[in-house]
Amino acid sequence: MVEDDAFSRVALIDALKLQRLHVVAGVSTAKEALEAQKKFDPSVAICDLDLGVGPTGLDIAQVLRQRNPKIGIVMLTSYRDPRLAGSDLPPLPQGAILLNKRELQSMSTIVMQIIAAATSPLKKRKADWSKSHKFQSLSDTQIAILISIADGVPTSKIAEERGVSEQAIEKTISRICKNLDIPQLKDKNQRIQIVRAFFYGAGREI
Amino acid sequence: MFEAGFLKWRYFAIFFPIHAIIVLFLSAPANKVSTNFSKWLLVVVGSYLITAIPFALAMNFKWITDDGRREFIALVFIGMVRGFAILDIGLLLDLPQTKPYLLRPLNSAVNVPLWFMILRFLIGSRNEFKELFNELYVRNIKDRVSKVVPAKGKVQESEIAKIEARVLETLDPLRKNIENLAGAQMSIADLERERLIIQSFIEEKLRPLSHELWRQQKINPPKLHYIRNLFRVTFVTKSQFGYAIIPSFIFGVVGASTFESFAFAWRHSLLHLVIQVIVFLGYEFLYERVDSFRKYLNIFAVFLCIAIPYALDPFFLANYPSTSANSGAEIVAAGWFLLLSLTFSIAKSQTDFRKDLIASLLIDLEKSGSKENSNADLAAKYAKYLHGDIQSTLSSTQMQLQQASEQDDLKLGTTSIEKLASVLRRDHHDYVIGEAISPISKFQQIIDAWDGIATISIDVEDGEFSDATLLKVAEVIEELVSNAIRHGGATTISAQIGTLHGDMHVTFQDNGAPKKSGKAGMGSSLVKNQALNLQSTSDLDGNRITFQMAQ
Repeated sequence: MVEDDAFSRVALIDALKLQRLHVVAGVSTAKEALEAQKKFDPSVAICDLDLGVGPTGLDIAQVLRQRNPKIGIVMLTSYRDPRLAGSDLPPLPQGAILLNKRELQSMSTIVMQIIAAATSPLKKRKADWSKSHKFQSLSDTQIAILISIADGVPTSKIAEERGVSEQAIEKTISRICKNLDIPQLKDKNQRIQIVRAFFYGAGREI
Repeated sequence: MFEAGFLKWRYFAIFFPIHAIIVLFLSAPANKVSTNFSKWLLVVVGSYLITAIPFALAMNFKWITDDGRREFIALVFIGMVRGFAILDIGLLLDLPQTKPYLLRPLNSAVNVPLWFMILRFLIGSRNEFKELFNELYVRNIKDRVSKVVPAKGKVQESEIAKIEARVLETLDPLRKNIENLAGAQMSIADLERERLIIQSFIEEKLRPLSHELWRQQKINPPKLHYIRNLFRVTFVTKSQFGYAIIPSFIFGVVGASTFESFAFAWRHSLLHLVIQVIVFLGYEFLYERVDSFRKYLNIFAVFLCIAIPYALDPFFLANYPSTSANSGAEIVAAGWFLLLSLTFSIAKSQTDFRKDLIASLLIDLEKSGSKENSNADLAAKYAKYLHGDIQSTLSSTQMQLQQASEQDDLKLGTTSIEKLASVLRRDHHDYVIGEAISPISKFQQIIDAWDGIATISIDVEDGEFSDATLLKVAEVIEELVSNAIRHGGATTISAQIGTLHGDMHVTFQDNGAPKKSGKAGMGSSLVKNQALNLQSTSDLDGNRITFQMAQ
């Protein structure tokens, strides 16, 4: 179990133990995760996507998989679309199962997915980040621009960074609004609505 | 006042002792009850069980339990059944009864709903009251209170000192122990012993402390002073003693009939009724006209309703030479009047005057101040630090020591002990309270975060670099590190920060796959924005990037 938030880690481990799963280690950093893998050789790694500074759960999952090609991977995230965690993330390892913390209804769902990851770690699974959400309609570029907007970067700067004209960025922003159903209203600042949509997608509504 | 919730088995159960006391002490003079105590006990139990039948029936009709008024009317009938049950069982057992006989069911029909109202609003509503209180605190008030009552520096400092002292007290014995070992020669047995010490330290010292600090961050509303609030609400809102006058009159007639003639009882109660109605009318007249004295007027009116009849009783009794004063009965009657006044006021406050109730609760909440909040926030920060940073370092050291002792790797054991010593040596205050992270800590954070995946070294040459510039460069290095690992699979990375022509000069090297030229990612755009004279070369040994940062 790789989770940087100690409280969540302890709570989840205890809950999984109650479900009669054998949790061999609960760790918070990449180093501890790799040491635990070396020591216990677990059949499944459950990684939180956002681990603060440094590697994400995906980075760790990639290395765990390199060292044991048959390890099952379960990724936990509160992002409605994990691409919002960063536009430069490594891909989800083959067979990895992505669970959205906000959509989980019971512990048995996690347990079922852990068992599925253990029994068929490499089974090709549809890695649609957020099947039920409108963020899926955004391209990677749109997601990257959305992140920049939420970061407070002005249009001119985004255009400069991406080596395109401001007009092109404005058009992309319009498409983002269209895809996310953000109307252009006189009494509402559209950019703020985009930022709100970003935080909603990131699982941190404002 | 008539919101649903009167018909509950809990209240029915609590009603039993009240029912028993009324039957045993107020139905007949005490000397007559004591001579036939077992029979009276049978009346108590029998009538209670019979009352349970209509109560259960009413509970089964959703149409009744959905509406407070219907519940109240149902209770009138339930009370009537109870009254007849007491009367009939009493007559069957040949026990003395108040005459006229119908007084008993009438009194019961009036008083049972009132008793349930008392139970509901004085006892049962405590939970509702508390829920409302908590809801107010958690949802709306917490922020407001923290804004209304500014955090006081001195309080904050003393709280910090208190928590820090506890943290130091807990960590210090381990720190001293590890400090003695750092740099010393150790055997495999030493490593194993230290592993066990660390393990027991985590279990016995660190976890209990961090759990305790976690618990402190739980939102703890200030203590609910229920009784005080009830009285405050009663006298802040308009007193509802008017509702108590008629039930008190009936209670007075029935009560006095048990030991005096009916003629005496009803005249005596009528006198009280007339006085109380006059006080009530005077109160109603004045209440709207004396804004600032309302709460005193409340108390004064209730006082007059009890005191005037009591003061006039000797003159009234003078007309009945054979009747002696009964102060016990007067106290019971006054108590009943007060109880009813209180209940009606509370019922009204909790339902119709909800705003006043909330205003009253706010007084408590605002008085509670922000001390608890700042304390809780601070405790949470320390808990997170202990649970996260310290515990993960300890766990990691423990695992490394185990590995070292299993593999006879003294070097690994020594290194892990030294790392732990440096963590325990640090100024915990800076790590927990410090708003901004220092550049050196930021570099260390990057190194530690990727440790295990890649070995990173960041060297900062002596130079007069501002913290702001170093933090900027840390951001760039962070991006370069993640790019080198994610896209090039780098396992060894180094960064040197020095000066060149007065500017900060950075050399970044990694052993990852050579970079492909292509579209710039966000990482490299960050680098482009922050860095000057960016140059990048790649060969089979890896990649080398140099850039400068204006200070």
